[in-house]
Amino acid sequence: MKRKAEFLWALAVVGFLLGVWEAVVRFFRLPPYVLPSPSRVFLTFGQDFSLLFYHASVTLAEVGLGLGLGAVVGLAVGILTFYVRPLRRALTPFLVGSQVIPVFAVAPLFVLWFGFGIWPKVAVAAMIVFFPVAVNFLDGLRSLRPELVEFFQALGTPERRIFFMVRGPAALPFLFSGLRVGATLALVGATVGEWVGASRGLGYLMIQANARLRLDRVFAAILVLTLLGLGLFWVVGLCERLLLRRR
Amino acid sequence: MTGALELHEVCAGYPTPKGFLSVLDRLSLLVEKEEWVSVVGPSGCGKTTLLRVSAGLLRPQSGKVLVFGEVPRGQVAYMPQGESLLPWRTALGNILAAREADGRVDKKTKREALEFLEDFGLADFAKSFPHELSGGMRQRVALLRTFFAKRDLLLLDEPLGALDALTRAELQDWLLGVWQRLKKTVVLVTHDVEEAVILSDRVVVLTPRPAHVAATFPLNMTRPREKSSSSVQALRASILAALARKNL
Repeated sequence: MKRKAEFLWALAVVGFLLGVWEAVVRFFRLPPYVLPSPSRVFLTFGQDFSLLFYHASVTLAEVGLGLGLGAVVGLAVGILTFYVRPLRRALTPFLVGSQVIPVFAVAPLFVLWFGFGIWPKVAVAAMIVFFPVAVNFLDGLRSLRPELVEFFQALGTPERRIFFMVRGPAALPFLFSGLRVGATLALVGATVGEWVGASRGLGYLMIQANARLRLDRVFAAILVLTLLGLGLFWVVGLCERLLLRRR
Repeated sequence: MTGALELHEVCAGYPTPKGFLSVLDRLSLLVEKEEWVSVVGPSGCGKTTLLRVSAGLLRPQSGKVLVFGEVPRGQVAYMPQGESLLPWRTALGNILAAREADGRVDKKTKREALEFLEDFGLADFAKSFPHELSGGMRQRVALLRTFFAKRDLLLLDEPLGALDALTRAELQDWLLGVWQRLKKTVVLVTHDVEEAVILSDRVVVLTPRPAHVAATFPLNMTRPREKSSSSVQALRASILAALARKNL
């Protein structure tokens, strides 16, 4: 009942905002190359559906690969910095540095190094994802109560097994909060990568449409991006619930 | 013949920002096989440190620690103070973890674990997760897990410390029953003198930090013991007197 009410409220808010937008466009007779009305955007969304779908699939593939790669590297960095304490301090400036550098600055370099295909975008997405994953997983490993581990340490359990039995499972919720943040940011990263140099993908489609003043298509692409972001967020949440349903 | 646990003039402590904190000072203790020794002492005196050193979790500065004649390296089952069950595992899963600690477990061990829970009255809770259990039940599971590990020396750190008086008394009886059936060596740390008197073969009183043994009380009484009986009360009084003397 409560969830249904929340859903209806969300729907009402969206409907109201779209209504205002539509009214403003019609009242001021704004031309579509300045601001297309939402009805026009939805129309374009329907007309360009296969085009949008194609480019969205490319972007999604980049984000998916970037997310996977970033998660693996993030996990590795998290584990490494947990066990090798001196490394933690040594790596921190690099970790933070990798997040301070604007994506726009490195994207052209990645294009230069990895070509115009999907790999520079995958690299950008991975670079964005690995940080929240690494930091959150390390936090998870460090926040474990020592009593949970001491029982096994006293039994002489090898550290490797303690990791898989105790430390890893205990840090999983942290890993997922890192992944959730990473998943949405990775979408931004991949799109920016496509802006800089690509022949496919939603970012490329937006640049092209923008240059031709097809703002309705730009907005349709933004709509698709939003849906992708929500979908990714939901999928990560679903994986988390499936894996951690017993807690 | 060697004892189950031998501590010889053990000095141990922890580094702190203000320098080294000495917790155990030339502490010597001998625990015989299948003996139940309870350790009492003023709070913060080093009871937990005594167990950590015996479990091999903390290396002593000097002195010798021997578990069945060897340096401690995984020969003991140690139950830490507080909640130590894995929250994502059921009671059965937690019990099994005690064997998984030594390697892969087979179907036979799983059956064994289930029978173990049945034998000690926890069959109905086998599939419950720790957060679904009451505090008393959680401690029962944690205690059984410690007993289920294939180890002959058990170190229990205040296993009943956080329970209310009624549950506590209930668990004392239950724990005694488990111990009498499984016959393992137990070192129990507690701050409840009465608990120590009704459960153990011997009560060891520690001095305030840095701790060593202040007094030892052998208890040659048959079990089960009534808390209200005059002999229990008399011993309780003399142990409390020993504790008070060292507190001055």
